[in-house]
Amino acid sequence: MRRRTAIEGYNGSSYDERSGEVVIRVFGKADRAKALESARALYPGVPLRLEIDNTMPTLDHTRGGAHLTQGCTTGFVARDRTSNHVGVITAGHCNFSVARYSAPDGSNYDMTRRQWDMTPALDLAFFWDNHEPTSEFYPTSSATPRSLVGWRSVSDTEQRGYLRTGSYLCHYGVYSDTQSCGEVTDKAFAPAVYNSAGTFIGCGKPGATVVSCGPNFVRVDKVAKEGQVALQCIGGDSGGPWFAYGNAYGINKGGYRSTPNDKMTCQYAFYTPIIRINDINLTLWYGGNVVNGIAQ
Amino acid sequence: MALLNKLVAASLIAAGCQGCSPSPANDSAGARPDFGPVAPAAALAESGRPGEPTAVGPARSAALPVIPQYRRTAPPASGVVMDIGLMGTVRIRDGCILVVDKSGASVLPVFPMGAEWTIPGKALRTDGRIVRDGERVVWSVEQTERSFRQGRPLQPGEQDIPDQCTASRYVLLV
Repeated sequence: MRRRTAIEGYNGSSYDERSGEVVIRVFGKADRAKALESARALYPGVPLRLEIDNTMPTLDHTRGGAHLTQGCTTGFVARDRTSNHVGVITAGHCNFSVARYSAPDGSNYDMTRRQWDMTPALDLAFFWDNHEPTSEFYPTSSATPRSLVGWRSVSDTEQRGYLRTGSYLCHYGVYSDTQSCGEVTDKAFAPAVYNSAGTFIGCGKPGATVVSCGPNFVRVDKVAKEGQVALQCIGGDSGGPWFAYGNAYGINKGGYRSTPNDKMTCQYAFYTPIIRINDINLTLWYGGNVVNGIAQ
Repeated sequence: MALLNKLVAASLIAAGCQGCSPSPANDSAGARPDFGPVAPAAALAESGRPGEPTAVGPARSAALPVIPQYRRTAPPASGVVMDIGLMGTVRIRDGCILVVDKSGASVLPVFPMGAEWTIPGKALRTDGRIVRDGERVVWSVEQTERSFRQGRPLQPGEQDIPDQCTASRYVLLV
């Protein structure tokens, strides 16, 4: 109890038998220097080591892989290069001016769309609110987020060929409610997009001139692999993260199912490569000081 | 073996069984304990099997609540439909079919043509699946407006949204 009140961000302690140090764990957001100073004052002369605990979800933090209740999933946290707003990326066809953000940590608040675009090369939107964002995303339906550590370009991604297998990537969608994975089969995929009445709508914004999608998306096909859930997809996974471990690859745009509304019949899904966030002036957020949703 | 089948069916129904492929056996087994004998006498008489609820399309009883329906056209084989999601609980009240989402907003779904009541006012079949009042659903949808036909005439088999049914959002099941 004394440690909890004396050490800012305290989240437990243990003894490391190999090093002989007492390990003090603090939440990632804590002032680390101050926490170490407090611990040393509490245990003078005792060898101490500070470890940062990022796995404990903190209430009201904006993350990727969360729910936009009007029907989409958030992808990754990003910063607007111009305004320094830090918010979340989703798909552009999640066409809401205000979206309700809801996450497993209990967060539940409205976010405003600040940017969006739908072009032959991308399908992206950026939502923001003054809650504190973290550099994390939910890779599964559990409440444990994963830290974003980097990103991979399309040229870093392998496409299935006669003599090689494609990159094995995973996505998480709140609506398919599981992390599922597949193999990259086409790095220059140009989907033919229709509406439910069978009208060709292409890749432009709704109501604008119809333009076909360019060969700018990445297609991932269902391929079973031991220990992984084979690809699933359903409407509402849109905007969700495509990743491998902690690396971002893209933002989910759509998928093809052989049976309506049956996520298990997903044959393939496709995403906007993450590098395209540059086109709407965003950059991935790896953490830092944020005050009222603005990077300092 | 028959007893085992009944036990399995009962356990699936108790668990909600979302995603199960519907069959006449589990539908009728689940219908009676959940909803009671609500089918109109006329409908039951038409079934030829008194006491068992049956499919009742709009043409078979004018008194049934209207299921809003539109003509869905599948894209060519190489095409995909752009969709978002609808997740929530089905509420069938006062002749209206709504889905209440996590934020408490009511969403009115317009179904592909062919949707029909299996238990009038309580459960319907769409795309080969049974959807019951109170059931949690996850659907692929496309945003639309209340006037989902956008001025074009009603096509055979389509059904407009009943006048008394309103919601904060309107969607087409894709």
